[in-house]
Amino acid sequence: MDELLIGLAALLSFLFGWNNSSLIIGNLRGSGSTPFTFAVLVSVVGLVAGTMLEGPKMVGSLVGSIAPSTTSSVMLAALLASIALTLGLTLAKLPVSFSMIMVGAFLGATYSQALPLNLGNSERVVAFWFIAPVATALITAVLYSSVSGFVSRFGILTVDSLNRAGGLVSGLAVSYTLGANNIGLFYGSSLAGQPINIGVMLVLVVVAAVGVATFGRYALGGVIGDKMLALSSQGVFAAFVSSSVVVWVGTQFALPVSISQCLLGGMLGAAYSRAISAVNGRLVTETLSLWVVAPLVAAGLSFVLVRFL
Amino acid sequence: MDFGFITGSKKEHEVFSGVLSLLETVTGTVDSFEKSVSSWAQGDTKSANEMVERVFEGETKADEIHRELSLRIAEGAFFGGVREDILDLLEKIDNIADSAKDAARFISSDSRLSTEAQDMLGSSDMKQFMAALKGSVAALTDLVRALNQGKREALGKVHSVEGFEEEADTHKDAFIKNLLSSYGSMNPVTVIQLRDFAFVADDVADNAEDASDVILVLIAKGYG
Repeated sequence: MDELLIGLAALLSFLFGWNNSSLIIGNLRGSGSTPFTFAVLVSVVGLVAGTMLEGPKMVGSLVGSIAPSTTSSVMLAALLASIALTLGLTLAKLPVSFSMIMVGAFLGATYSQALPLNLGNSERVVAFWFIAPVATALITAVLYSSVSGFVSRFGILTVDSLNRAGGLVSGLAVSYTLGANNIGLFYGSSLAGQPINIGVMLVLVVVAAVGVATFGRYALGGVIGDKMLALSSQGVFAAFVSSSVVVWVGTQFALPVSISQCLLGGMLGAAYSRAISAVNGRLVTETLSLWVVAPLVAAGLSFVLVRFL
Repeated sequence: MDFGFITGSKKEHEVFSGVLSLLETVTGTVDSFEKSVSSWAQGDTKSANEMVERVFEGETKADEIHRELSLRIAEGAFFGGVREDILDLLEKIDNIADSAKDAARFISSDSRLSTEAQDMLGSSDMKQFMAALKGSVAALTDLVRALNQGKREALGKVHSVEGFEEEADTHKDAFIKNLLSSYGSMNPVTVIQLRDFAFVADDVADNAEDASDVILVLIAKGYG
């Protein structure tokens, strides 16, 4: 059963890499001067570092935090439901919150099996989902102003170099924090309660990197960024770094959190701090709705699935 | 401020130097154009024709520089978000030389402009008009240099080109008004040629202003 769970966690990692490729390498690729292979290499470095250094902090975020214990069938149902939903949304080219779906699926399956739930921790997780984008918006507004003020002192050649460096830094920051928060979570869904297996962690990271490399060229590029609103290089940098900071904070408290949620908050924070009015309200509404609907659907799906396993 | 040790990339420096070089060529072209008009007004058609030749050569050289820089940018110089705008800037700067060349044709030996146009071309309105055209190109060069100093420096100079363009319009309008008021004493073909000459020459300042608008976009995009 462990091998099956690991295999499913690996599949989820692959989907994660695919779906998040635009976030992980999009900013670097957006510069137009970074080869695809270099962008993937940077993402791999970030993912590996994040997963290995801080991924273990997330291992107990489902089993041990939301529920004191679990069964293999609950984990199996949670993984299957998560895979089905994330695959569907990825194929539909919609941004997916893996952590929200996994938490929803785990809660649904656990509840279905009448296993004990730690409601206090569950509430903490859900509360952080609302706090995270707001915190990111505030941090982004401050960071954006600071960065804009800083670069305004320099000539355009220096600004150009700073923009490129910013793309590299934000790419590394995003892949590091995603590696820690999400891949650590996937590992915890397969081998929770057991000693950390570095080999399995590495496998999950490598599979995620394959997802980025395979579909990164064609994936969701731009849904979060340029389709919702237009931001300058400094604005995108501020939003990405702020989101990474908030996700990192979540990791320290073993709270699964969606970086796409944080990014939405960050980008809106950047937009409104500069009185940018070109916000695609419809797309924002659709994305927000998805974040409410997706974990509920995941919970319902796993609630039913676990009864057949 | 420009910290060379921070910029790092040689490509971007070369492109920026290339833009300044293009501006230098275009400035020389417009200078030659102004001298050709001045020579023609004084009846020195030999010098005028030599200056017209220089205008044509300057325009050709500007085209070559434009082409080379465009290739470099297309190969990946500069951050992707501003690349198209820099290409647009090069296009507008090159258009200045094109306008000078088109206007110079009116006083080239092939145009058969009548000598009765000498007085009009030597008028104070025409001299001030030419000075405003040169001023617009000089202001554009200052603006491009300021772009490599910082946002504040660039923003402080961005409207100076527009100022010269408006001045050119004023003197052009005064010239045409005088031209049309002397209609009865001049061959109608000469009047039409001089009118068209003024309109085409005015494109020098218009293109300089268009280039300064592109720089405003560069500032907005590059500095967030």
